[in-house]
Amino acid sequence: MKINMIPLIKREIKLSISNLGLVISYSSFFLLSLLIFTFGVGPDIKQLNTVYIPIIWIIMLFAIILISDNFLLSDFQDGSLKELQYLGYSEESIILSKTIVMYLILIIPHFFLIPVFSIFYDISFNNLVQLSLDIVVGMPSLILISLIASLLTIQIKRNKVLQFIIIMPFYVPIIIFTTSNNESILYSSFDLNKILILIGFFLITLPITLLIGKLILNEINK
Amino acid sequence: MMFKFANPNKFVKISELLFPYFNILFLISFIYGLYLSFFNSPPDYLQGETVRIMYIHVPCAWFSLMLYSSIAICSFFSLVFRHTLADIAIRAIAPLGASFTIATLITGSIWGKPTWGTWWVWDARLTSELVLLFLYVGIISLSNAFEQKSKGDKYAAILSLVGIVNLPIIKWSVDWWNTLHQPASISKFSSPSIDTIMLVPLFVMTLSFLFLSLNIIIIRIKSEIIQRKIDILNSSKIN
Amino acid sequence: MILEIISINLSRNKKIIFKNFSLKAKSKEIITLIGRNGSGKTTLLELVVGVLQPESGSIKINNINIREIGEHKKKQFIYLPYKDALKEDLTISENLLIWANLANIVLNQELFKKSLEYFSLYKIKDVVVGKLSQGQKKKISLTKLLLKKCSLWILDEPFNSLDKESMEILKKLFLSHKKNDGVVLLASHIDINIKNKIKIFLKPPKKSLVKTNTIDNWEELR
Repeated sequence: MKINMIPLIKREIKLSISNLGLVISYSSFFLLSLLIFTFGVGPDIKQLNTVYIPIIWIIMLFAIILISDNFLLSDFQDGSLKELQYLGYSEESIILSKTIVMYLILIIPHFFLIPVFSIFYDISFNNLVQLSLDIVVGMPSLILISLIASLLTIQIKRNKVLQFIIIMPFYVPIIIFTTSNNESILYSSFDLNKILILIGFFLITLPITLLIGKLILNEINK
Repeated sequence: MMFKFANPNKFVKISELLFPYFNILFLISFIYGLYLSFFNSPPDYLQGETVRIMYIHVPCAWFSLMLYSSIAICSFFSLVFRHTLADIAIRAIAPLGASFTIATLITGSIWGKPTWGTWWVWDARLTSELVLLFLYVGIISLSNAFEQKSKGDKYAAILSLVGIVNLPIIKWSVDWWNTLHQPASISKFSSPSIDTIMLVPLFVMTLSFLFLSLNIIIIRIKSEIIQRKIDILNSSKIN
Repeated sequence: MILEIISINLSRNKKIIFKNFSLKAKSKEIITLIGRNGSGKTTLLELVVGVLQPESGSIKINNINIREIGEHKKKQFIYLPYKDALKEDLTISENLLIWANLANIVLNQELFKKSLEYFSLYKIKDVVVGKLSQGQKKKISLTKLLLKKCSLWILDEPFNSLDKESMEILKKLFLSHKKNDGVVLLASHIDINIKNKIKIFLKPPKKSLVKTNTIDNWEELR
C-alpha cells in the first residue's frame, strides 16, 4: 500500500489541465444559476442581500455533484481505476488525491466568483470575508461526499438523478452550518466558531468517506 | 445463531411456524392497545382528545428509527460475514421502514393541525423524520438500480452504513438549526415525564407494531427467496 | 519458480469457473491461455495479479504469496489488461510518462526513444491518443513492456488489433524475453503460433440444470 500520493496527484493535475473547460463550465453554471434565482426572487437588492448565502451554497452543492462525475467516469470506463489499484496504490489514496486536485481546481474560479457575488448582492466586506473563509473551509467536505455519490452510481447508466437522491441527506448538516448566521459577525470581521465547526465536519467526513470509498472500490472490481 | 439459518428452507419452515402465533399476538395486542388508548387513558389538559393520536404516532416514530438501525446491523453482517440472508433482509425491511416513516409524518401532521394550527411545522423531530424518509428512499432506489441483484445488495448495504453513521450528526444539526431559527417555541414534543397510565397503552401499541413488523418482514423475506429461486431457474434456462 | 498457482477455486454468478486449478511456471517459458469468450482467461489473469481473490488456494510470485508482499509485488510483474488505460486527451508520450511516474520507473531519454521506436511509435509520439487506431493504441500499451524491466509478463489479449507485421515483432519480443529468463503468461482467444510455447485450454463453465428444491445454502441465492 503506497502512501506516496505525489505521482497520483501529478497525474490528476495533468489530466485536469487538459480539461480546463471544466473550470469555465463550473463558473458559468454557477453564475447562470445565480441569475435564474435572481430572476425568481426579484430585483430588490435589499431582499437579495438577505437570501444570497443559502442560494450560493446550494448552487455550489449542485455544481460540485455534477462536476464530480468528470473526475471518476473516464477513469472507470477506460480501466484506469483498476490500473491504479494493481499498481499498488491504496483505494484511500486514489480518492484522497482526486479530492485534493478537485479542490485545487475548483477553488480557483471562486477567487473570481466571490467579488462578482459581492457586486451582485451588495455584500459588506465583513460578510464577504466570512463567505470566502466558509467556502475555503467547507468545500472539501462537499467534494468528499460528492465523490462517494459518484462512486456509488458510476455503474448505473440509466438513472443519473439517483446520484442526487442518495447523497442529499448527507449534505443537510453542512448546509445547516454553512448558512447559519451569528450575531458575533457584527463585532469582529469573521465568525471563528463557524469556521471551527466546518473544520470539524471535514475531519469527521474525511475518514468516513475514505473508508466507504475503499469498500465501494473493492466492490466495483467484482 | 447464524448456523440455524444456514439453510434457507429451514428458515422458511421456522418462519412459517411462527407466523400464525405472531398474527394472533398482533391482533390481541392491537385491539387491546386501541381499547386502552380510547377508553382507558385520560385526555390531555391542553390538547384534549387529539393527544390520543400519540399512541400511533410515537410507536411509528420508534419503529421507523429501529428498522433503520436493524438495516444498519444487517448491512454490517452482509459486508463482514457476506451472509445472503442479511442482503435479503435489507430489501425486506427497507420499504417497511419507509412506510412507518411516512405514517409518522402523516400522523404527526394530523396531530399538528389542531395543536399548532398548521399541517406542517419545521419542528426538529418532524424535519429529521423527513430526512430519514429520504435515507430510506435512497437505499430502496439504489438496491433496485442494478441488474445484478448482488451488486445492488452490496451498494445498498454500504449506503445504509453511511446513513447510520451520519444519522446522529443529521439529527443534531437539524435540532441546532431549529433552535437557531425559531425563538422559544411551544414545542409539545419536548418530552415531559409521561404518566404510567399513558405509558401502558403506548407499550401495548408498540408491542402490536412489533408483531406486525415481524410478520410483514417474514412475508417479504419469503417472497424475496422465492423470487430469487425463480431468477435462478430462468437464468439456467437461458444457458 | 516464478509463478505458482496452487489449487484455486472460484465461482461467479453460481457458475464454477475454477476448481482446483493449478499452474507452475519456471523461467524461460511462454504460456498461452486459450479459450472461447467467457472461459475465464481474463479472470485467471486478474486472480494472478491480485485484482480478484480466489475462494481458496493461493498464488505465489517468486515464491512469495501475492497477498503478503504488498507494494514490492508490483515491481515483479507487469500486467497489461484488456482495456488499455489510456487517456484520450493526452499524447502518447504524456500517457507513457504518467504511467512511468506512477509505476516508479526512472526513465532516461535513450530508453524512452528506443522503446517507442520498437513499435514504430516514435514519430507519432506527440499525437493525441484519441486520434489513433486501435492497433496503435495496443502498441502503446505494449511499449510499457520495454520500459519496465521485470521477469513476469502478464498480458490479456496482446495480439488484438495488431497487423501481421506488428504480430511478428511482438512474437520476437516474447522470444527474446524468454531467452532472458523471463516468463510470459498471455491470454488469447485465438491460437498464436510461437515456437515452444505451453498451451493451456480453458473450457467455459458447464451449464447445470438447477432444481430449486436442491438449493440448500444461502450462497446460491446471492
